[in-house]
Amino acid sequence: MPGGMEDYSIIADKAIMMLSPYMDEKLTIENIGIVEDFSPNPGAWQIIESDSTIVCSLYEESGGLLEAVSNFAGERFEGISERDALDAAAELLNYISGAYAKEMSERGTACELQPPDYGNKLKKFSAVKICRVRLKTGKSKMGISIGVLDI
Amino acid sequence: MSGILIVDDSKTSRKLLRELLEDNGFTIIGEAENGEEGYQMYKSLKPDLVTMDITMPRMDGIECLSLIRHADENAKVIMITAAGQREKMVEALKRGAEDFLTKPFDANRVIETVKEVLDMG
Repeated sequence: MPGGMEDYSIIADKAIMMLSPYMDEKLTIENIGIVEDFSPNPGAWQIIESDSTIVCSLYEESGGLLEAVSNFAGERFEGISERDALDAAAELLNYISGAYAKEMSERGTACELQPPDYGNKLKKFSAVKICRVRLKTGKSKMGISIGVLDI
Repeated sequence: MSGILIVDDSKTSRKLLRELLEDNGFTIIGEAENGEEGYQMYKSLKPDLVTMDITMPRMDGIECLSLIRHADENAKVIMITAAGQREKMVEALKRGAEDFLTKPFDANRVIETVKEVLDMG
């Protein structure tokens, strides 16, 4: 994880912890980096307000998010663009944000979670230092993007 | 058998909670996807218990809880939210919520809490 980005590191850690039960045992981090924009791919996003305003998103790359949400919700979806699949992605993201908020609360920083949202194209956010974590399993890939909103 | 109303904007969350409660013998008599709908369904269905998500668009769970408790001071409402939202939980308990549950759901804790609130524990 790039230096000085502890919040991002905690969120990424919680995301992998929450996602791993729903993905195959070959789940690994493919790469981590700073990027210019959030991925426009289908997915879910959520705003977390504390000392700064953070947006966190889960997005599809090649079947990884679909795999995770199908196992999480206990049903087979036609594709990640299906409304119910994206709803499941948003709920899974809510768990991740909640785990982050709990850890921050234990460290003395209160966080307020906005309702998660989802879509076939990520809402436009103006953020600085967007961190992208790409995950891969034996047969699929998905991503996590985390950024501090520029407001 | 007691009837339960689930109020949550996430269809996935409603499904997971419905399956857990039905597998343990409880009856779900309705589902609402926001506070406004939850309040209307409370008035029409008169459930024995409401599980109420806090973070919802349009009308959140705390506002809906207040309306329900204003209309029926004996209403039994269990609040549900993601982890780490302690201040909101405290606010909900002050406004008359019976108890609270955090996501991800711990199946045993959900069943124990529902039974206790319904005086079945």
